[in-house]
Amino acid sequence: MNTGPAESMEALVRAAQQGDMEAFEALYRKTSDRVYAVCLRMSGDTDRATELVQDVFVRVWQKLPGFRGDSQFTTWLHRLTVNLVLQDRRSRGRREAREVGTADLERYGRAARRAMPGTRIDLERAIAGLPDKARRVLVLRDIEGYKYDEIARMTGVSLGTVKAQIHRARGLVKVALG
Amino acid sequence: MSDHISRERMHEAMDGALSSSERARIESHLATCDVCRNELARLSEVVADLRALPRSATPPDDLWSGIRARVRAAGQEAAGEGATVLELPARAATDVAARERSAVRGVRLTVVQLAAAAAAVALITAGTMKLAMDAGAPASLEVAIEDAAAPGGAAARAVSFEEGRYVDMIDELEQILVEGRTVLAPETLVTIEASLSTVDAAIDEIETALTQDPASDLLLRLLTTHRNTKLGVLQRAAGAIQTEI
Repeated sequence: MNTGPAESMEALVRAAQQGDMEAFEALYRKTSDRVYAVCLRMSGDTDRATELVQDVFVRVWQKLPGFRGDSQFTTWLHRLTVNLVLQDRRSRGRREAREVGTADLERYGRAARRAMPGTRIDLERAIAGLPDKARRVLVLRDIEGYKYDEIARMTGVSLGTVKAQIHRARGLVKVALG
Repeated sequence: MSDHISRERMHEAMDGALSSSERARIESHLATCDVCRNELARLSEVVADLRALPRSATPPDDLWSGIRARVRAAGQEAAGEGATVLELPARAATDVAARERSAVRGVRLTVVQLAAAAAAVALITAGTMKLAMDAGAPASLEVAIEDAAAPGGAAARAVSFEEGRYVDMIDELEQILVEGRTVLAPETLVTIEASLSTVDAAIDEIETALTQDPASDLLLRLLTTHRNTKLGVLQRAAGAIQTEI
């Protein structure tokens, strides 16, 4: 996420809350890279990730008038993004409809390299190749830094299940890396 | 320790979730077991690599124009209607002109009206459904509304009891919408998505409030009511899709 002075972000949020589209675009420019990273990794699907980013910012626009500033805007945005991706059924449906093959992961890897030039492509491909539930909780825990109990609440499954999914996902990534 | 360290223990060790005595036992085992030491080292390396990944990614250049168009469309719709409206065609339409005509003649229900309708159905059927549940029949969302009026724990149990069934129903209906969205007129689809977005936003806010006050009867009742509203919107959308197909 591009960072700027906190005052600037707050001013943009206030202006966008009043319907200022230029301010909202500036907020998008400042925060979309962080949102895209979450959508990309949690969906494991480059096409769906771009749709999700758009869904997130449309939702942000709709919910901004209710944002009271109790938390930082970036924290609020991050939680909104994660919730929206977790609720998303479309990427899951797409992936369930077909097996994710080598060609898909190669394509994903190329997109990840363009979006994150310094990243480890082998690791990104290993994450994208995980089963949906395992990938989502792994990203939340080991990349986004959520606690186990927070992930259990967000995903609506038991703490024990979340732990088991994350442990399995780590093992699968280890195997994929060889 | 003669046996190898379990996978769960290794992950707990990496997460710093072991007691000091458990940690001491594991360290003692690692000192003499190459297999476990190598396995833990490899897993720790994977986790460290994951945690070191960049947390930002540059999105494609053209995303903003799509967002702006959708935001403006939603704004124009809100300005024109004064409220979020679900507008579904009253009958099948196979071409654009027919779609436009059917949209004009279509059933118009505001989200508020849908909520009121859902609540009314609940009030009418709650007694019947309570009897059905007592007799061993599957519970319903309406039962959850009635029980949610009970103090504290009863409300929480009622909503929790319904969670799995609600999620299954929503999943199924959302899948119908995903698969059948292309048969709906674009303006109808926009309206459905705007309605769902509004009710989802309300559900999000209630769920957030519930994390602070999980025993609130009022919040639990609101959650149930809004979930019913979402269910109603999706059911009507699925019905419209089936009509078009």
